[in-house]
This record gives sequence, structure tokens and C-alpha cells, in this order.
Amino acid sequence: MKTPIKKFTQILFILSIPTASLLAASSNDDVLKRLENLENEIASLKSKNIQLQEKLNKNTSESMEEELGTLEDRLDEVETMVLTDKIDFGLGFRNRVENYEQKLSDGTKISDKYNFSSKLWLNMNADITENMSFHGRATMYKYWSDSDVAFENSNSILASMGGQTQQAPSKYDYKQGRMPGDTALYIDRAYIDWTVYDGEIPVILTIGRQPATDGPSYEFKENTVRKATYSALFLDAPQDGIVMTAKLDKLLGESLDSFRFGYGKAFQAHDASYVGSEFSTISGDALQDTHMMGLFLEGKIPSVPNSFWMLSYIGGGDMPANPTASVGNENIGDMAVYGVSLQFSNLLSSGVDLFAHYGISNLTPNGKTIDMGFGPMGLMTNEIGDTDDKNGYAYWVGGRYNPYFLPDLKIGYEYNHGSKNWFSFLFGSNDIVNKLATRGDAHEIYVVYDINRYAYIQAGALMVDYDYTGSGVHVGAPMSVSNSPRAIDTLANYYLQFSLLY
Amino acid sequence: MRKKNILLFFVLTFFSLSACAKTGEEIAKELEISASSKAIKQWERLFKKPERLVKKIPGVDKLTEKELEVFMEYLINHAADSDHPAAAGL
Repeated sequence: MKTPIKKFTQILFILSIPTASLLAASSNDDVLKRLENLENEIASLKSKNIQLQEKLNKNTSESMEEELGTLEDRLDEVETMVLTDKIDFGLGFRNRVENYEQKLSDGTKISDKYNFSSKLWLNMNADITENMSFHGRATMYKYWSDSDVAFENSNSILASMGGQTQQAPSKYDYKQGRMPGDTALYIDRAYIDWTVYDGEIPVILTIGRQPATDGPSYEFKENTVRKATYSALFLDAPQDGIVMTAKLDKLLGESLDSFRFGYGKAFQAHDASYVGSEFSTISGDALQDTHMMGLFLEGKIPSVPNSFWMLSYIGGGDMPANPTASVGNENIGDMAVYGVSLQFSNLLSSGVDLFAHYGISNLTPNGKTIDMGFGPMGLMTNEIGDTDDKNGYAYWVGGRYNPYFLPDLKIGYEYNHGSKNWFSFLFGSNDIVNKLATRGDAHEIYVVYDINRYAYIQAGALMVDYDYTGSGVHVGAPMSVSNSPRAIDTLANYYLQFSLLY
Repeated sequence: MRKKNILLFFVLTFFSLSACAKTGEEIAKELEISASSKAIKQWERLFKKPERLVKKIPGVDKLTEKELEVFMEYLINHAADSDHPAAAGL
């Protein structure tokens, strides 16, 4: 039997169901409405966001485009400058004071102090195409307040030196820019490097006034890097010609880096005047040109970084007695120089540089002589009809030390010796004493102090002891100094210089 | 004889210690870097920013302090605007 309370509870429950349903229906509508509103809001926000993004992108893109445009304009300006600056110029400048002390074979002592000189050189480089480049150097070299005088003044101490040709540089092709002259700029090198074949063995032609001065191993004393193709003991003179270089390193490795064949002229008679006019004088047979030929092999010493070796042969046919004259001159014979060179830079990272060069000269007179006021003079002979070979030799060794605890300081020493008949192509030596031509002994010691990366101060002493006369000259027989009156016996040069290479 | 041996010892020690070090050229070859690809001032600027240096030359962070010094010296000495060697066909 049901109690009244239970009945009442049942009725209340039954009645509460539709009421709860009604209430639930009302709440769902709200939620749905709210959801709908939220969706609308999200859509609206999304739309706004897209609009903002688009606006932002547009602004960024415009601003970046503007910025890129500005950069492009600036790069164009730089590129235009680069493309129109066809030649890169470099500067070299040297001021030097030299003090000479000389003793003659008769015991006379002469000194000439405080000889100041300035040398300016403008280096030029241009990359013309990928396989062609130009290199040049224009040089002005003169004594202070003096132009050309020293070489024509017979009272000059240098003019009295053992056979040095004392021509004004302007008259002597090899000495232009190499010996003190006047304020004129002379071109001591101007050549094109042209890679004619770029395969397994690239072949490069070097055409023009060659890099043939201040070669290895002068770079240590000059506080620079290699500046010429040839050893300075065998050839140191501006040289007009063509050199073919075959690069062998790709095929054979760096131990045999290159082979070179060179052709040039040591003397060109230039005996044609007024060509094309009725006054034309072409007399090409009067004097032969001096043709030169050279063969060179070089490479690195295996497993020794910063090293190089070189074998050299240089030959010249029909040497003229006087390289400055076409008239009153004579071809007096042939000559050849054979040489071997070794060089180590910063050997095993020790700061030590070492070098050694050894050369043999072979001169063959043709029996002809000329008389320049000292009797008959032929190729290393004073005898008419002498055709015997004149052989000589020379060596040049030296080193430089750059202490790690004094990185701005370098100390160097060089020694060279030449025999009685030693002669090589050193007409254009930048060394005013031309020490490598010495028939005797020469010692040089120097100290270099780097002021900064580009400038340095150098102090040095060069002492030469001549055994034979005529050092650096190919005419006339060398005579023993002790048997010659007033020949130079010893010569010392104490110098101080400031140099800049920028 | 004794003096000679002592001298020889010092010379050999000096060169053998020196021989252990790599040259700047060798490091440049290993890292495949051409010194002439930049001017002196550009190399100097790069070496002042180690993070940028590592990005530009991967592997440079593995060099010892001494090697880094030698490497930098080599790059500067052979930079595009440095004193270049001159010879036919170089």
C-alpha cells in the first residue's frame, strides 16, 4: 500500500520533468546564441586580421622594395667606379742617404758622404679579362737637387769606379729608372700576362718590358716579396721580350711548378732614320741586334713550405761593345750564364730566411775589338783576334732573421763572390754599387725596422773588396787590382733609408 | 767536439719545435680559403668578430690560438691589396 507521501513525491517528480525540459530548452538557445555571436566575432576578427596582414605585407614589401632599390643604386655606383677604374695604382717611395769610402790600389783614400736620393715608383695593375692582365711600373729616381749630373761628372767617386758605365740613365735603356737621373718617370716594366691555354698545362705569354729587375733574393733586403722572374745574380735589368710560361704544377705537383722559355733583345741597333722619307737611312747590316734566349725551370722543394729552386740558362748572341751606340760600335761575341738557385722563406716557421745562388758565365769573343780611347777592347779581352772562351763563376748566399720576440725587426747578412771573368746581365741593378757584378768579395749587413705594415727604416753597410778590374763590364780584359794603378781596391757604402710601399 | 754537439742540439731543437707548426698557407688550403678574396681591412674586420668568422670560415674554431694567429697573418699578407709577387706568368 502506497503512503500519501510517496504518492505526492511521485506526482512532483512527474510534474518536474516538463518544467526542467522547458528550462533546459531556454538555456540551450542562449548558448547557441552566444556561440553564434562568438563565431561572428571570430569571423570579424579573422577578416580584420587578414586586412591588417595584407596592409602590413603591402607596407613591408613596399618598404623592402624601396630599400632594395636604394641598395641597387648604391651598388651600381660602386660597380661603375670599379669598372671604370681600369688600373689599380700602388705607391712606392724611398729616401736614402749613402756614404761612400773608397781605397784605390795606390793607397789613395776617397770618401763621399751624405749622398741623398729619392726614388718614387708607381705600380700599375689591371685585370683586363679573365685570361689577360696588365702590370707596369713607372719610376722616378734622382739625387736630391741634382739631375743626371752624377753620371756624367768625371770627378764623381762613382764615375771613377771600376768600369761602371757612367752614362746618364736617359741615354741608357737598361738604366732608366734604375740609376739616379732626373725627375722624369721611366717605365721599368710594362707587360701583359695572357693565358693562351688553360688546360692541364696552362700556358701564359708575358709580352713587353718584363718583370726582370730586383729578382730573387733581393726581396729579403728590400723587405718585400718576389719581384722578378729571374735570379738577381744572373739577370737584373729591364728586359724587353716575350716569355712563355708552362705551369706544370697541376700535372707534376708544386715540386716542378713551371717551365719558362724567354726571348728578348739586349740591344737593338735601331739604325734606321727618317724611314719613309727621301732622307731614309736604313743600314741594318752595319751592326747586329743582340738576341737573347732563356730557359728556366722552377718549383718548390718537396715538404718545405715557402721554398723554391730554380735552374736558369740565359744566352745572348752578338753582344755589342757599347750598348748605347749604333755608330762606332761592333758586335764582339756571344755569352751565356748558367745558374742554380735555392731559397727558403720563414724556414720551418722559424723566422729564418735563407738563400743561395751559384752561376757560371761563359763568354766567347769573336776576335773583333773597338777602340774607346784605351786601346783595342773586345769581349773580356784586349787582344785583336782573341776567340778563346772566358769562363767565370759567382755565388751569392745570405739570410735574414725575424725574431718572434721582436716581430718588427729583421736582421740580414749577404755575401757574394765573383771570379776574374764573372759577368752576367746586371746592367740595370738598382744597387748603385752593383755588388753582384763584383770580381772579388762583397759583404752586406742590414737591419730593417717596420714602422707599420707599409713603411720601414733600414740601415746597412756594404763592403766590397775587388780582386779584378772591370766588374759589371764585358769589354776589356779584367786586370788584377794589385797590378793596376789607381784601380778600386775596396769600397764601403754605409746607408740609411726610409721606404714606403703602399 | 762537445761545443759542436751542444750547438747541434740547440739548432735541431729549434727547428724541430718550429717544424711542428702548420703554415698559414697550409691552413688556408685545408679550410679552402683564398686570401686574395678580401682586402686587408676586410680580413681584419672579420677576425674581430669571432662568431661571424666561424660562419664565414667553417672549421676555423678548431684552430689553436697560435694557428689562428698564423692563419690571420697569412690572409693579411696575401690579401687582395697586399704587396703581390711579380714574375712572368704568375
